[in-house]
Amino acid sequence: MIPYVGCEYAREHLDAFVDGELSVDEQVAVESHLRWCRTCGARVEDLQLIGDSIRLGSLAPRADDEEAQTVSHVHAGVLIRVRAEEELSLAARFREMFTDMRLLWPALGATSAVTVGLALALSVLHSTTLERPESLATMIDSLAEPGGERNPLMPGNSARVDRLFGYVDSDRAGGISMPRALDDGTVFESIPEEDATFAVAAVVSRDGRIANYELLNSERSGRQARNLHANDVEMLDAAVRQSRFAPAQTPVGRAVAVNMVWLIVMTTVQTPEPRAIRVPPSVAPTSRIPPAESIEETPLKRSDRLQTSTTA
Amino acid sequence: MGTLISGGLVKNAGAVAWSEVDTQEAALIARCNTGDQAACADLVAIHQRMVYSLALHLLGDRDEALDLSQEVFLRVFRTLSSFRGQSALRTWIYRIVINQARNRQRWWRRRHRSSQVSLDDHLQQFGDVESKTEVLPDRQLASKEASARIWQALDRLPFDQRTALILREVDGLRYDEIAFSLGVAVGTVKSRLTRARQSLRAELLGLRT
Repeated sequence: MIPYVGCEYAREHLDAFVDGELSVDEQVAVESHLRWCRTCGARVEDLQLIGDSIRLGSLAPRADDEEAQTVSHVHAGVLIRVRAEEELSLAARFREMFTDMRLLWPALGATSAVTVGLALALSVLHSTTLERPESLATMIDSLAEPGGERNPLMPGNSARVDRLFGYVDSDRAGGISMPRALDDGTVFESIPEEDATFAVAAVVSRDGRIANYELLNSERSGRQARNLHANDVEMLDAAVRQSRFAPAQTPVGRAVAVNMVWLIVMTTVQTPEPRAIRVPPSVAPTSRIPPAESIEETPLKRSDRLQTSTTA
Repeated sequence: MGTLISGGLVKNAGAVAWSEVDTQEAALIARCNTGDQAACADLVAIHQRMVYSLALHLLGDRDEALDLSQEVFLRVFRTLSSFRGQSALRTWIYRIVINQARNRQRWWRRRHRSSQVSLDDHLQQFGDVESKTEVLPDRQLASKEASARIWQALDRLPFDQRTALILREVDGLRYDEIAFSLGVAVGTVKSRLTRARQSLRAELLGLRT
């Protein structure tokens, strides 16, 4: 049975009907409608007339006319262009690049020069930022590591250690132990045995060495004080460099670098001169007792040193 | 697939499948991809007329159409290796033509409108040209004047509507092929064809009065 369809349905499908794009059922339904509806039939005729008019006015050239031949010749040029593009592909250009060596060597030289110049500039930049102590990079680097050689702390109560994270806050109260000398003063024996006092401002590093020091004051007494003072300072310099310390530690056991003032006092301890022992003449000795000689002991000289560390 | 009803071929609209690329065409594409110059020449020979014809209908200028069709074939050979048989090769080439034409049509038509081909001049110079659908002699005589008016009205339509109608009426593409060529849905093709025909029918009605 052919379904009845109205004009509204038919009009929606007239274009597809003319184009042959309807399904079989739709085609049959529209055709049945067109048998009795003259309005829709006229509309279909118009659509077909439009299609015919477009095809009639088509500008497409005939296969055998002159324009078609021209088109054919021009398109043959496309193949030539395609072939030329393949020949000028990247690989072909790469090969061509090495056929003329006059351009290669200047290019390599320029590339090398640019590379060397760039490396030099980077090295200078690197050295100026890290080596110069006043540079911002160095300041940031040292501040990022409290307790390092570049940012030593002050022992005592002026630093605080975070027990949870282990970092040291030098602006707050805390407890950092004093560095303790490991040697027994033998390094100072090379200094002439005269009374002397040296005050040295030093930084004791995390591995127990004197990382940085400055002689603040030196006093000397004795007969050769003036002559030997310059030598003493040199020897002191060597002795300070050889000194070893147990590094200062935070309460959590982390070694840190600290500032300290090192007071080195060298004293000579001399025993008092004993009195002469005289034998009374009333006692007649049976034999001559040689008179007692005054015992004059060689003054016991002992170099000693007193080390005092105070915070700077 | 199609069913013959009342003298008309009713086609089922559906997605274009791999089967659209037949064996002979697939072999031609494979040869072109290997750099076979003879195969490339064959491909150009097969499609050059339809490419030029579509470019001419879309742009309305012979020199421009010739230049565009060269560009199209260059692009075809550059991108043929990426063609995966998602449509017939012809439809795929149509799509390239339309995209290229759309790019230059916007500015070119405004600047070179005066040098476009007049339909009357074309008919005087070449006479009636062949079409793919047979037109009855009496109707053909009756529609010569109408044809000129229709083409003038067609020239004023938006690019997408005009393209859809030309692909349908001149090149005989199915709705799904037009949809692929334009890069839109089949429903969009239907609505564009309907709107285009309404405009042209209004022109036709004006001609009668």
